[in-house]
Amino acid sequence: MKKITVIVRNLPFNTRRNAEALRMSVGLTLREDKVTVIFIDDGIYTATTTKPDLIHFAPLEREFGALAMLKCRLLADKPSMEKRGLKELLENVNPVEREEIVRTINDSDIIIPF
Amino acid sequence: MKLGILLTTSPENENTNTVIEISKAAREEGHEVSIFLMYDGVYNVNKKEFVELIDKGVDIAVCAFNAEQRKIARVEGILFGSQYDHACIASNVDRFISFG
Repeated sequence: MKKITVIVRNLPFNTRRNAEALRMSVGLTLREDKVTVIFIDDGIYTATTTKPDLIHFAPLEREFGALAMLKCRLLADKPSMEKRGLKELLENVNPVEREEIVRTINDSDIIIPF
Repeated sequence: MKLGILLTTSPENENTNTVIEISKAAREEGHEVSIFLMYDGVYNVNKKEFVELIDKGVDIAVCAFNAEQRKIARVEGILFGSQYDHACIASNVDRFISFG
């Protein structure tokens, strides 16, 4: 079993990249590998409550639901949250210190910055 | 050694050339290379130099869902598969590089 970490770094609504990163993360669990998704920098907004339907953007609830159901770790970088004044995250996304982010990355067999 | 590569950018990005050259070099050294294309990376199936990697023994798979979204026609020798194929590559290789 490999440890795979996907890193989401970009704003959520000017690209489909973040949605694709989550869809890919779900797919990567299909071979029983352990998948962790890290939200960092502007990617942190992806893990907050938003109303994408207001701009006719497909919501990410299904991807987040699947990742939670598959017991993937969803980590949010605390310094990125603090820098942007964000306090609340989606359910199942855990805020962690930068040291935990670094430890997770160091401990991974595969890292996919998306 | 088995090398896996994920490419998510379209051919105008320098990533494409890097992937082509890395793949060629790896094959010349006798390593196995598997490439998975998704997101805008699926456009690389339209680039001649990229598709020629097949003749050098490189396995190329594409996310058919992304390809269909972008109206990409199927190319002989390339597997139009799913994210499961990506999971298999990630699971089976010794080294994995992501270009995005």
